[in-house]
Amino acid sequence: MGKLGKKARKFAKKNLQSVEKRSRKLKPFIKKKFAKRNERHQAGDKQEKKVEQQPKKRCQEEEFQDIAIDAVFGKDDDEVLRDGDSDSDGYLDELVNETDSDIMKCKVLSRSFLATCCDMVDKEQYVPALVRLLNWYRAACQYGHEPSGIARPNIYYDIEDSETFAKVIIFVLQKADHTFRSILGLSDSSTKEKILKLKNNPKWDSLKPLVKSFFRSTLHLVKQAGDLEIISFTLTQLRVSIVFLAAFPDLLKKLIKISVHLWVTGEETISQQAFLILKDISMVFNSECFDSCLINMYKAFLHDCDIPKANSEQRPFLRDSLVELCSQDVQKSYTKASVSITQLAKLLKMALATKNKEAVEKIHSGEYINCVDLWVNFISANVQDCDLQPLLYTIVQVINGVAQLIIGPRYLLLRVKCIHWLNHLSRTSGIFIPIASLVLDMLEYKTTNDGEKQEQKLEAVSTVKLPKNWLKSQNFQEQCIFSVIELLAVHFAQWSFHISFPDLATIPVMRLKKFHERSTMEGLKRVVKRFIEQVESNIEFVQRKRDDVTFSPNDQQSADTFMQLEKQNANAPYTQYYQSIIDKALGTNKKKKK
Amino acid sequence: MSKIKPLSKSSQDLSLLTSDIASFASSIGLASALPSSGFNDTDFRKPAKSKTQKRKKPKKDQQHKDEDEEGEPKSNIGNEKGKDFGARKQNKDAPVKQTLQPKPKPGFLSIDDESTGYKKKRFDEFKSLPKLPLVKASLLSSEWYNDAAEFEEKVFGGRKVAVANKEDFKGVVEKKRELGERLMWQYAEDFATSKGKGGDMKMVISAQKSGTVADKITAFEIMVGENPIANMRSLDALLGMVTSKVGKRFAFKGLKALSEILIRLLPDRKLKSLLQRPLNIIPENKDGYSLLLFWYWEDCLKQRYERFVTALDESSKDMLPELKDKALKTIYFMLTSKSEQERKLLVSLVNKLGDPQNKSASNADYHLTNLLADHPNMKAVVIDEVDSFLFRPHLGLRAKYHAVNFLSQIRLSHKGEDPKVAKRLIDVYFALFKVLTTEANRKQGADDKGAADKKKSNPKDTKQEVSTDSPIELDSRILSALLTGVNRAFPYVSTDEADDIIESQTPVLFKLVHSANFNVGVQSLMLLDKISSKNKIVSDRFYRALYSKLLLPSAMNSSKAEMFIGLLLRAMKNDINIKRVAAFSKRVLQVALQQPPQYACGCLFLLSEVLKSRPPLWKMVVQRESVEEEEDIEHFEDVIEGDDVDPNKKAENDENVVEVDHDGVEKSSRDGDSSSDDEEALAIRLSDEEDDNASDDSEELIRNETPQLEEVMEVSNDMEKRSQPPMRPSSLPGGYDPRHREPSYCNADRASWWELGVLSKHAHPSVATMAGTLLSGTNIVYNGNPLNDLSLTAFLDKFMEKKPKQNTWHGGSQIEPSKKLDMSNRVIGAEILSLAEGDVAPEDLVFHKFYVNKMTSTKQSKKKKKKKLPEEEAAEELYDVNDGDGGENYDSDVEFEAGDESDNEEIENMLDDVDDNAVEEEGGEYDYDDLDGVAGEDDEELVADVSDAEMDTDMDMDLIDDEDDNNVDDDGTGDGGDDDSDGDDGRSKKKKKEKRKRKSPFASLEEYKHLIDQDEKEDSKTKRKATSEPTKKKKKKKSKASE
Repeated sequence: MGKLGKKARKFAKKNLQSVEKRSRKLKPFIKKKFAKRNERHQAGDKQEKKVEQQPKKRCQEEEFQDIAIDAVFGKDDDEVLRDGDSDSDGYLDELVNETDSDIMKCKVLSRSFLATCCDMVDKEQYVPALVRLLNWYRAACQYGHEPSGIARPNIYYDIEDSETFAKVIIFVLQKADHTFRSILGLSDSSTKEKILKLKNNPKWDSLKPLVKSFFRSTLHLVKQAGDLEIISFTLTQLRVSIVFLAAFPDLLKKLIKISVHLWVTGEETISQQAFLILKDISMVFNSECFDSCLINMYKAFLHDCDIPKANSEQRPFLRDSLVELCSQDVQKSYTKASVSITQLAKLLKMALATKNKEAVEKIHSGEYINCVDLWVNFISANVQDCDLQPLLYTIVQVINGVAQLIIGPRYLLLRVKCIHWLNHLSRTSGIFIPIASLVLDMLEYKTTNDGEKQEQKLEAVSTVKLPKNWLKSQNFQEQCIFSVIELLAVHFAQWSFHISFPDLATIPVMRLKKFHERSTMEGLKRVVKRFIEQVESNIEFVQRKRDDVTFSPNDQQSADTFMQLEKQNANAPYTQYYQSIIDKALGTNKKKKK
Repeated sequence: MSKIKPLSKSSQDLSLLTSDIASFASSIGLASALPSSGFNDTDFRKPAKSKTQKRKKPKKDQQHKDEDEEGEPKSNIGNEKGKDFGARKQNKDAPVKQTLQPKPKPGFLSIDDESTGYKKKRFDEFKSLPKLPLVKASLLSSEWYNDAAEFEEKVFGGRKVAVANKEDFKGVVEKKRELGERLMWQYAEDFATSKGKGGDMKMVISAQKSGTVADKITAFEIMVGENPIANMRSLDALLGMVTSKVGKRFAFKGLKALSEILIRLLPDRKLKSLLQRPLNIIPENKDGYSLLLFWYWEDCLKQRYERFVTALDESSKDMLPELKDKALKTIYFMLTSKSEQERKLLVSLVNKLGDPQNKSASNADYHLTNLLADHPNMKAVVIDEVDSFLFRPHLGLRAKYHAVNFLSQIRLSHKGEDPKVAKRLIDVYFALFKVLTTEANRKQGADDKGAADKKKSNPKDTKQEVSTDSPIELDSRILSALLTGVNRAFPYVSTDEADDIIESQTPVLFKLVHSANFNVGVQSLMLLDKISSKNKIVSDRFYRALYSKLLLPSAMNSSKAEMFIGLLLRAMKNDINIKRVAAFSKRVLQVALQQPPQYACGCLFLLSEVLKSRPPLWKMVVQRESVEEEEDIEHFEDVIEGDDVDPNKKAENDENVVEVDHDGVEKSSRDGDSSSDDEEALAIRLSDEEDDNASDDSEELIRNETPQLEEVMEVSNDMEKRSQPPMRPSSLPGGYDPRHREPSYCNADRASWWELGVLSKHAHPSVATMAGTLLSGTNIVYNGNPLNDLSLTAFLDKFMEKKPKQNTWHGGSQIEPSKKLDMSNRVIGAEILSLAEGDVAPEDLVFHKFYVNKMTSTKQSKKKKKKKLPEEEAAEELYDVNDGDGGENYDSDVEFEAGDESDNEEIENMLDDVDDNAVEEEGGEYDYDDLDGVAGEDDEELVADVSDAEMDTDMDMDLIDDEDDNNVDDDGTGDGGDDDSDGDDGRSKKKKKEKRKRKSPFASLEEYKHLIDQDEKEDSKTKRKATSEPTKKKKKKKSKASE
């Protein structure tokens, strides 16, 4: 807007709100750049003030990696630290301009001093020592990230060697919570309410900055640390003191963000730890926190789905943990799920209506599929305990729609996935979902046998759509048949003792037989043949039992109790057979993953 | 006003004209000056008193004169002859050819100037001749033919005058033609002198000579409008524009102008040429001359019109599609409005069915349909024409398809000629079918492997080796169209003729049943059913075929699902063999287990309807599996004795025996695996045996097409009775064999409907409810079409709270004017709250709950915001606690949602972001109109899949409708007109009976009153009414119900 005249600017201000908004957004960035540069070149309080001002604006769109966010908290830090500084000893006078870590000219924190401090804090809960310790802790946490000594010229904390460094961190992390509690006279299991009641406690007033400083430093450490073990350890220790965060909603928010980020992007253990924190947060605090956890995680999860990653095996963990979180408060998650499923349905509807490429692509995106996957798992995890019937119904409809959106061998994997979901839902909820026709349609895929055997495994493909040339491969056909058998086996296994199993299986068996006749591949024929035999023996078995029954179909209760006994012992040959197929499929899946 | 200057110029020749005739002529002049038409009684009524008084006298005079003339035609002729000779002498040197070709010089866009060529000479000649007494040019009324009729009346007094048919008559005609030409010239001159002097006319004339094309055309139009007889040259000029080969843009403009002019000029009768006139008795007086003038004019007009039609025909074959369309439209226009040249017009219109462009072809189809709507009497003629078109050699399939499509859309009734028409149609269909099949044969003979793309589906050919090859798209479409046509026409054929058709065509139909294309199969089954229900001979073969069709996976995926269910219902209801019905029911249930929910619902509903008419079937639901023998069961399973495996059931005895028997079967079939050849042989042998039984020549085909080979094997083994020690007890204990090919031998009547148990646990609430209803022993009551109402798209629509756009149904057949109305009936969004929870359809319950939650939550949140007293909070907390354990309590959701409003928004926002605003776009993307447009285009594209489906569904709906009609007829009501009301009554009664009635979410009848009224109007026209959608929708259900 710089080049506009005065009138034009006036006009723009009045009428072009969006422009105004954007410029507002841009400004801090520009300033921030300057600020950072200035920071480096000229130290001083003046500069500091400037840095302090900007963050207020920036608060609106804080981002994880943004250093400016630190500045926000940095300001508060100073206050806290200054309080503590008054108590500190004369080390403050020492100023060292060189920050080379190896030389460590300024031995501000010696090992011995640290030891005494620790001792004092540990045994006597001596507050000044704690303050000093926290200052060192802060310095350690900020280590390497803050142009040490320059930002605060009058105070400078440095650490003697790496051992001390480690000790500070470890000690504070381990003992801080306990110390705080003992100072405040709280038990280890005090609840959030108690923390909030502390407001009236005079001790709290003095301790509050310390606690705050502790959290701030810890958060910084978590965010900046490169070493996985440190992060992991920090997270573990942080969990204990989460209750204190009730007093610092801002920090709580920050923690949630950081944890979500770690949860999504981190390694296995870190991710787990981060999740535990999130879970604790959502358990301890009010529903608002739960919501923000859930939303943030959900967002991050879906966002993550779009990024092609090498380690896709983490996704199930993410999904499962998210499901676990959702399951904590089913009713709340229920509304979220229904909103989300509505979105899914909207997309599906669009794809069905237009059938255009983009819409269909959207359906096939990892995001969509993972979202469905998430809710399927959520529903199946909770359907036994809660009434999720509407959700179940809608998601089944959506999945059916997705499965039938585009029929063709190229979308085999998606279809298989859909049927997996349906099977999963059906198994957990005990309702009947017809999948046979979906499965059996896969038998009709016209594939030729002339293609040479392909080396690649189908699962190596991350995309939903298969490359065309694969369709002709023998491998593909095998995969088709195996999927069919597997899916049907799961389906039949669920209903194998139901009184209407013979009728349920009749038509699929007929179609399989037809396929068996038609097929020319001996290997496949054998598999199919065996499957047919097993199912038929199952049919016979149920049929035989059914002939003995004395009740009629409209006697639902009796029908439900039918063959319950037999169901308990899984010794029936076909049950074992089904199980073997399912296991085999699982095994191959695992193998492929490795 | 009637100051005709009568005799001034014609004094010499017509001395015999007396003053009374002059006065009479003046009175006629008065009459002719009247704008109103004709020589009818209006003339006597309309004029003012003074005139009528004046007229009365002339009337008498006229009568006198008539008497006079009656007395003296002969002498007149004699006189005339003399005169004629005289006249001929006068015009001796004028070449005869000239008169035959009234327009020798196709002056393009110009009136042939009198100053050129020999015409000028002629006119000069005419000039030199004395003027004949003639009617004044200015006295022409707006419709010349009325004037002509008046003159005729005047001259011949209304008598019918036989046209002389002698050889020498031609000579007379020639002479008269010349005379007519002269008269016309004179008339034109008269016009030019009297009227042409006006300023307007001058301007017009100058525009004619020097103006833009548009000006000229307008000028010509004005001239012709002013007085066509005098300005024939203008007409010629216009014609020249159209016929000219040079400029197409003239043709564009000319066509319109000309067609408008000609519509005005042509009388409602056919034009007569001079040859058809009694020229020899025309008197040589003023009236006579005037009449001759008119006759001559008519002759000229006829010739010109013929040229115009030829030109139309030509331009309809033009390269330019626009011109083609325009010509086509004009052809239709002329054809509907005037009878002149109708043959030619019709031929060229029908010919357009073969246009290489689909659009034009379907336009022709459309116009023809409209034509028949306007002139139902033309059916026979049109059908004949299409017939001859269809059997032209080298006619493309596409053209045939269009033709058949048109034929199948013809509305028929039981009245009048229509039975004959229907018969004719059916003959055409079958003849065409024969041609198609023979063509296919020939092609296959020509090249064995190829011709796949053009191959007609001929079951005979495809039977053995290529049975798996699906017939090519185009092909199945034409077959399907053919069958639709037959299905439609057949009910209207009179009974005795129908028998012949059945006799001759049933084998063909059975062949078609086994066509690889499901739709074709269903339609032929449909027809077979129709035939057999008419004759009360329901063949086993039919049922067997139908039974096997159920197994096909495409049964429910095709566009004909609705039709198929209707067919099943009818077949099952009409079947007297209860065992067969049971077998069908079992299989339908099994199919329901496999299919998507809407079809499952359809199946369940079907069964419910069957149960209504076959109450004994209830025992399959409410009783335990029947073990006691019934007397009519075949006894082959009773023969063998067996050791009691399950001794606890006394009635089990014979079943166990059979189990033993079946063990053998199992065993043997297992053996068979190793030696499949053996099995194969057995199977074939068995199928032969069965063929003997059923005398079914296409048995083998069935075997190939349906996955029943295994079953065949088993049966064969059964027959072998290879008894072996019972390895393990087998299934199918003497009873139900789901895989038997012949439904009546399945023993399905002993099996209970266990499938309902699973279905009652169906994921879809509607299916579950329906199954539950059946299990509880009551009939399902449902006013809708489950196939549509429960489809995924319907669900999504409801989910999105979107009222689907009302798309205008364009095109379509008249038989099926609209079928998409039903969408508006849905209860969408929060409206659903207006219903009590009990009244909500099961599939909508989700939404109901959702909105209940939403409503209460918003209320609560508001409340909360208003006042948040501590007690209230406490109460809420309490509430919360209560909710904790009750999952069913939806208020808990409410509580949660109350706090979550903002979060919902947040999630939504977030999701929107994630989805790249895809959702936001949806408003713009759902342009149904656009989609429809696309679909419409596809419709015309013979190859397009989509249109196939669309078209098919149209026909389905219609067919079902038809069936309904027919059935009512068959039931003996006979009177088609009452169908609707009967249906309604029945329906309302049924409604009252409803137990679990849902309060109709549909709009009340009043809202559709206009539509119904429309229907009634249509009813009066034709018996087959096109019911409007709301009634229709119910009706469809009804059709299932009532059949």
